[in-house]
Amino acid sequence: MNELIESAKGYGNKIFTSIVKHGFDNTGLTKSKIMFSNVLLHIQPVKIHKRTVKFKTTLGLGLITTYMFVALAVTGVVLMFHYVPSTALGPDGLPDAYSRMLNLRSNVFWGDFMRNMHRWAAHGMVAFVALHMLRVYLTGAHRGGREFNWVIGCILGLLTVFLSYTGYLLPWDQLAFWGVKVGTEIARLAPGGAIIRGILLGDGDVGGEALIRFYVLHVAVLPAIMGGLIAWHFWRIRKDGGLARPADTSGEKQIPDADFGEVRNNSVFKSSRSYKLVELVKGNEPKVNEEVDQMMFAWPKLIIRELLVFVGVMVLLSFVSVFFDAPLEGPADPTYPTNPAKAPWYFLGLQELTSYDGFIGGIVIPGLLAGGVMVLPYIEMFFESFSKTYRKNIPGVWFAKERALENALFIGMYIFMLALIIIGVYFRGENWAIIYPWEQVAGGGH
Amino acid sequence: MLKDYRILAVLAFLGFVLFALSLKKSAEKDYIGYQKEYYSLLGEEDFSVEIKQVNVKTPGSIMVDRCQTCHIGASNPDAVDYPGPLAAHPPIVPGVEKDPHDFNKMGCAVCHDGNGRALEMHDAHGEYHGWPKPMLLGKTSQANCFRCHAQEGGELAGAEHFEWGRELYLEKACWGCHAIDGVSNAKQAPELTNAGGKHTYDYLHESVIYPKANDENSKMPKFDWVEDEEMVSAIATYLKGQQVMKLRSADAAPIGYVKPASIENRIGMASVEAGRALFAGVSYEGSTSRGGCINCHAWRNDDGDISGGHIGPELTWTIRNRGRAWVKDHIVNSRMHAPDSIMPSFKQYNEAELESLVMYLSTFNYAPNLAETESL
Amino acid sequence: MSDDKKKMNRREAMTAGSAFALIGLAAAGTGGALFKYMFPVVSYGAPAKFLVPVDDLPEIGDEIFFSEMKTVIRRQSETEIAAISLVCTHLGCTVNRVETGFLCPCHGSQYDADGVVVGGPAPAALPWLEVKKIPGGQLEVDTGVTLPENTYFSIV
Repeated sequence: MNELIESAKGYGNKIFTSIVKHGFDNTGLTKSKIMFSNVLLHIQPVKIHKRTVKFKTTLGLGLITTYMFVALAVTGVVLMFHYVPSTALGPDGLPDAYSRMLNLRSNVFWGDFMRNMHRWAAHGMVAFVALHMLRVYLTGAHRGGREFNWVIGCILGLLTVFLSYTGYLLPWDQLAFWGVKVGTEIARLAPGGAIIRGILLGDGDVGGEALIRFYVLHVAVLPAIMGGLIAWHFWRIRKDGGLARPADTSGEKQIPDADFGEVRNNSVFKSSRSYKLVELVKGNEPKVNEEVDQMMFAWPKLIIRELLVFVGVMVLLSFVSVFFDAPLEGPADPTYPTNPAKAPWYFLGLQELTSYDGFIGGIVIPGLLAGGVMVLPYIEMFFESFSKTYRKNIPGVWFAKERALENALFIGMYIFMLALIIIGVYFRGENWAIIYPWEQVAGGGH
Repeated sequence: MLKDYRILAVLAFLGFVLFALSLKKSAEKDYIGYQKEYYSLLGEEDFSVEIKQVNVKTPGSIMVDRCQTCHIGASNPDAVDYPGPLAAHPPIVPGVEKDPHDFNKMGCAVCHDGNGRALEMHDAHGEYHGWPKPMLLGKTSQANCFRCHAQEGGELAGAEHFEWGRELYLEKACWGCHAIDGVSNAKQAPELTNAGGKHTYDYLHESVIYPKANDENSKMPKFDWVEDEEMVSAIATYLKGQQVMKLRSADAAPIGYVKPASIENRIGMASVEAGRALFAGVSYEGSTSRGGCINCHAWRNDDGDISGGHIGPELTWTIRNRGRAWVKDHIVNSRMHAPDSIMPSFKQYNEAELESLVMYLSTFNYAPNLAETESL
Repeated sequence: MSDDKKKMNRREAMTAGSAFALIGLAAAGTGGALFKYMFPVVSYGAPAKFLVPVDDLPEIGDEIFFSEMKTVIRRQSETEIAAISLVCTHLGCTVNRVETGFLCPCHGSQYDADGVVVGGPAPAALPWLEVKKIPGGQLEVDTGVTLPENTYFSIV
């Protein structure tokens, strides 16, 4: 009998170790194995700089953005089960896509919550991408070999906005229709914009063809491109040596070693320093870099902190989704625009600009901003190379004194866009007239 | 690490609470309470709460109607006195033993509009911003009879308010300016063939009373009779019934309903009486020809008392001043002699009808007492 | 290992444990909620239940077919009726009424007039359905409830 139990135990162990190939003790070897033998965790290095887990370093913004993307992907797939991208009118006079929104709101259990989650996470992701970019710039993390990753990041940012925008049309209500209508009219102003608009809409105007195109872009094309670019973005961060940090971090106050969990030394050398020496450091000879002292095992501290951010994002999204319903207006009616007809908030800055001058406000300024920001590190390099000036770049330090000018310009640009968006959202009423925010009228912008 | 775990535990707890709240929000629906109340009033113990969905079959596809999830007693005669949403629907066709309308087949939104898919009251009654079809209640819901029933010249039992609206539409000469397919083809004012399909009842009601309410450039006169709320409601109901999208095509009318043949009965013999009827906009001996001059034009009787509308010129002396031929021309094409006239053209009148009108206008023979006038 | 450290470790393990337990619970609950999210509560096709007005019933000994609902209603006597499903128990084709009973056009299953299998691949007799009198003078036939043959229902 005992033999049988022993055999069963052995068999069970074999199955378990075939799936989880490491133990859970606190030796350095196990801590490493946990990281690199897990498909989800192996994206991160086994050992990280202690700075990495400090909240101040990144404010978790990139991570939050990633989690928003994950939440959007999951809720998005869930919503696809109840959605049809069709404008065909039912006998009750409602387009099919819109009836599906009504179904989500009424007879589908949890349907409204899923829609709210998706809607708010989409807006949240746009906002957090912007904040993430601001953080990267203000800590100078776009330089020092990371220039190209900045470009990838900018493309990801544009994709985020475009993903959010393509999703905006799908409910096929008045808000969606006129928001997209206004947005695509801006595209018409650009040279060649009419062609892009035609390809995007598949018709002369926003209609059934546009809906199916936006849908395919939204659920297949853009998420696939985005997934690939996110992988590239992360891979580059690791190849560039983790999060940007100054060359010398010995003077900084760090989280004490004990807080990373106990590490038992099971090395044959029985010396706590010997293991730490086995690190890759710059140069062609073995040497002891003080930075090695600042490195620590990623397991469990980093993983727990990342989980913490994940749960935090979920709490935030659930809170907003429980207490605020995603807007839904009447079904799309191409003959009666909402008044005012506002684009989603992240385009309201543009809409505000176009209300002064269509071409300059709708194409030139946003084009310069988007293009300029994307190649910003190269512009900085250009000035440094040709004017033979040397501006010291201190990566990983907030508001470095040496970069005061650049930082001020960048913050200025953010304030400019933010001000325009606030005016567009809160101070524009019927017929685009200036109003006080408390006279708010329904008609888009969210 | 303990600090991290503590924060994680607090966040996880918050997340769990919010997750539970989201479930609660999804699980707590008003209809559950209504159905429980209904079954307890019935004394029924064995029941399951469920969404009652009627899939109304139409030529195109199905129309989803979930109204009876709350209005669960609609077709139960025992539920006549039940409170609020649980009560039985009053009979639709008066005077028949068994009402031919089966709510289990046609649902509620077919007649009452609103949002048939919703299960929350404000949603379902279309009381949220931008909903194109707010609910039609009481008499006004007669507008929707004609989504299924043929309306050409018919008298539909139970649709009296609508039928009165049709009568008023003819009597008040709305047709003189507005076109409705099968009624008139006037071109002066917006076509109303799909007025009900495009606009809400409230929009139509408001536009009848105050034409500039929804269109600042409207040239439609403000009529005196709009003070009568019942009249306006009847006309608005008639207009709301003008919908191009029908749930039944002409050849698939509901079972047991015979589409009445459209009859055209014109005035064949000119007479003063026929002219008087045309002038007043009422039917003359069953004829389908209509006028309605009195809505815009006034005239004086022999004692000098004036009556009629004030939009067009007074007609007391017209025949005497202009002559019969001129008046006939003016009725058929008002811009022929008066290029700036806003009067609609009444091209469809036959010779007998024109003659009748002129004969009637010729009977106006009021002459002011010159001696009296001079003494003033 | 000192007592303090042990105590610390225990507290850490408990906090972490409760945090993970809550996360696990929420994740499991999400799975459950999504299951309910996917579960159909309304049908856009022909409903499983349909209503027959008492006046529309066939004569005694006669049958009336509801082809859309794949159901035949048979009247036994003044007070007794039954509803029989026309869905073949083999692979779901609709059977035809013939003189000897029912015949399935797909794979040749044969049933007698009461729906009992007399030949072919059909594994079971045609289901007899539940008929319920509901408030309002109508009969409700539930095509979702399967009953053995010769189950008649009183209509008074």
